[in-house]
Parts: sequence; structure tokens; C-alpha cells
Amino acid sequence: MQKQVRNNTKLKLIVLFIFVLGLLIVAALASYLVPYDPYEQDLNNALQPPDRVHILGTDRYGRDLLSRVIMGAQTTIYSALFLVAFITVIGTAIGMVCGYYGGILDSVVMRIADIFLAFPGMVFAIAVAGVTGGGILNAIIALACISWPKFARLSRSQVIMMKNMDYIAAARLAGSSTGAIMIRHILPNIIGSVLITAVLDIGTMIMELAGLSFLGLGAASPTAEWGSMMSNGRSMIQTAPWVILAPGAAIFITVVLFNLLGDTVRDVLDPKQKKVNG
Amino acid sequence: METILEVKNVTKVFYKNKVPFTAVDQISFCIKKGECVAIVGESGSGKTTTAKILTQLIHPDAGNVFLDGIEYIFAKGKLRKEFYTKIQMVFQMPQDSFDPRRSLGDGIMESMRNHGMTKKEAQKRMIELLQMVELAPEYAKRYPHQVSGGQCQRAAIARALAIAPKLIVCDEATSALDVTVQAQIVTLLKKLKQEMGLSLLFISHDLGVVQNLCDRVLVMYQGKIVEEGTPDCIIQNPKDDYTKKLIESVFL
Repeated sequence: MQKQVRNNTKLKLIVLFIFVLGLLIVAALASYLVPYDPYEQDLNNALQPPDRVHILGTDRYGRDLLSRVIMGAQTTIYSALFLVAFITVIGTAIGMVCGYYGGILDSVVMRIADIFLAFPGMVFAIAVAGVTGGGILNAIIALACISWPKFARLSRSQVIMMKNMDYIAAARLAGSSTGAIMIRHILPNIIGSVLITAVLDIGTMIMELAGLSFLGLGAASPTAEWGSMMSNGRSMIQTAPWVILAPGAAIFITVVLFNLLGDTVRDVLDPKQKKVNG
Repeated sequence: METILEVKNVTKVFYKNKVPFTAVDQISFCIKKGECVAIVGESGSGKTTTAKILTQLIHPDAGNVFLDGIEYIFAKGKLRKEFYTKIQMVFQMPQDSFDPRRSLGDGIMESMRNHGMTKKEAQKRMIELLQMVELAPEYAKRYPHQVSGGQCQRAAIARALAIAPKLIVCDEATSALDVTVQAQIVTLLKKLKQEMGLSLLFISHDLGVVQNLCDRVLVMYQGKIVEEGTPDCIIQNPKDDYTKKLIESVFL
């Protein structure tokens, strides 16, 4: 029974991974895959509903929505991935050092983290993006500011739990330096939960990046980006709903895929499920 | 005989909510080459704290520890590394003392690799060590959760022996094992001690095991050493009140 469940989980992981990989490949090769130039305006064909020529219809400048959604995947997904990778590495490194050494350094850094956590995240990001001005890079910086504490706290608590374990003492007795202990013994033991949080965070970050762009604080138009595309379609939601539905559906599908992947990764990486002789 | 370890007036105070608690109170003793000394006492008597001070996992508040004639307390860097070629430890919970994400073989080789052995040499020596503790070579590839407590403790002993230390501290090394496995581990330690002239500090609360293995016993109570002598002498002829109680509780 146990084995059956586990095999299903693995199969699920593989299927989801293929989907996500497909998404990433499409996003990476966006400029070769688009049927039309996503930036070319054709006012004669503005606001066409979906048909055979324009599968997802056109927006108010007559730009092909399918092309823009594919192009937007590149901006949105890779920005989110970069953002998550960045905060994972930075947050985890800070958390590990704080947790391992403790003391004043730990108190100071964690109070700073508390300050970031005390604000409602999105409001703070809007403020930061507002101060630094628009642009996708500034949106990334704003979101990085509010999201690193999560990883720092996670890895810190794990390190604190782990640093008094006998096997860390044993590694010290084996003559390993503090750096070696952190990299060889602590990191591999916390990487599972960090990765799960990171993968689960990709979905959230896509939403928040799109949210900032929706508010006009992320990608500046005419850059194809899902959030700003939704923002453009907002006023026409009753007359031309496909303009907002296309990027909205893209965000929905992508976020669901990444969240499912995160859940499945968690199920697979759960060390308690590791079988004897497995 | 040559003295391996000399402990002089070592004291350690812990603070719990700013209330001081003296875990180890001015203890002094020494261990000679090839000797097996036991520390017995109830839980909370300071045995494990003593073991941790000797292996420098924590620092004492006062006193000196000389290993092989050299004071290593607060040693850093190279000196600290040298210190860990002379002393090793076997922990109470064998499975907790190995990194759950690394194989037993990796765990045994870690010290050898850290002290400059090549991977090939370390691997060869690791197999020899496994044989020495009566484990088949395939155990090198197993993970801690894939072996029994007794097998894991054998691997832990192999790890402690890896860089041929002068002293091995066994902190309740048999307490978490069931009785038959306990006897096997004690027999193994006895054999290794005779064959290799190993010096042991054996921390336990089990006087039966101690009587079987050790040359000398220190009885600890509330952080102090209250009595010292050969196991037979202490068991048959205890002088201190606490020792009497301890013996009564074991040999009812």
C-alpha cells in the first residue's frame, strides 16, 4: 500500500515536472514560438474576439493576444524564478549563519526580519516599487525585500534545531571546520524544506509580480507581461472579456502548476517516507 | 605508567533563567595509558557535561584539562584539529550520532579525510575498521536508519577508532541498546582495549557493565566525585552514602 502511494507520488511529480518544464521551454523560446509579433499594432483588427486567425483574440491595439501571452510568460515566469532563486539563496544563507552563531548578530538580523514581516507584504512592496520607480527589476527588488525573511526564519529555526544534534558534535570531533559542518552536514539536512518552500513560493511570486505590474509598478507597457496585460484589459471586461481572460488564465494555470509541483516535491522529499534499503 | 588525560579542578556552571547551577564542581582525575576508567552516577550528576568538556564540545568555567601533557582548552584552528586526532567520542544514541543524509562509511571516513588521507586510503582503512568492529563491508553503504542500534553503535566505534586516538570517551555508549546487544558491545570494547592498548573513559549508570569492563571507577554525585576505586572494591565496600544507595538500586 505504502509503496503504491509512493509510486503514485513519483508519477505525479514526473507528470507535473514535464508540464512545468514545457512551460519553461515555451517561455524560453517565446520569441520563436509566437505566431505574430506581440508588439505589432493593427488598429483595423482591434478587439477581435477569438477566431481561427487570432486564437485568443486581439487587444485594443490589434495585437495578437496569444503571442502576447506567450511573450509575457517569458517576462513573468523567469522574473519570478530569478526572484525566488535570489531570495532562497540570500535568505537561507542569512538564516543559517544567524541560527548557527546566535548571539547579537542573530538578534539584530532577526529584528530587521521582523520589521519586514510586520508590514503587510504587498503594501510594503508597493511602497518600495513606488519609491524606486517602475520597471520589472525594481518590482523584483521590492518583492525580494519583503520575502527573504521567510527563508531566513525557516532555515534559522531548522539550524537551531539541528546544531545541537549528536551528529553535528560527531562532525566536529572528526575535525570538520564550522564552514564544512554547515555545508556538508547542516545544508543537506535543511535543503528539503527550503526547496519545498521555494517551489511553493514561485506561484505566489508570479501572482505578486503580476499584481505589481497590474498596479503599474512592474513591467512598463508595452512590455508583454501578464499583470500589465490584465490591467490593460480591465476597462473592457464587459465588452471584450478575452483581453483580460487570456493573461488571467495564463497566470491561473501557471500558479496552479507550480503549487501542485511544490506540494508533490514536499511529498517526495519527506525524509520519513524514505524506505529501508530504498 | 604514562598519563594520557589529566583533569584539574574543572568546574562548569549553567544558568537557567539566571539561576546558576553547578553541573560539574571542581573535579580532578587522571587516566593512564591503556586504562579504562568509568564515571558512574545518576542522571543529572554531571557525567555528560564532563564528557562534553573533555571533548571540547563545551568550555569549562574553570580548571585545566591536559591531554597527552598539552592543554587544549579554547584551542582553535590547527591546534584544535590536532586535539581531535587524540580524543574521540562514542555517543549514547548511535543513530543520532550519524548524519541521516550520509552513509555510515562516509561518516567513518570523515575524520580520516579531514586529517589529510586520500579517498582511496580512507576507504581501505574504513573497510578494515568495519572488520575490526565485526561489521560486513556492505554496511559502509547503509544509512543510519537502515541499521539496528547495535550495528550503528559498532559503526560509531569504528568511526572513533578511525584516526587511532589516544583516548575514547564513551558517553553512555551502551545505555540505549538492549541487554544482549549491550553485552556484545562491551565484549567488543574489551577486545579492542586489549588488542590496541586503548584508553577509555566509560560513562555509564550501569554498574554491572562497568564492573565487567573497567579498571577504575569514579562515582559522581551532584557534580562532584564522591568516591574512587576499583569496581570490585567500590561495589563490595562502598564508603560514601550515595555510592551505597547507587549500588543498592542496581543489585537489589
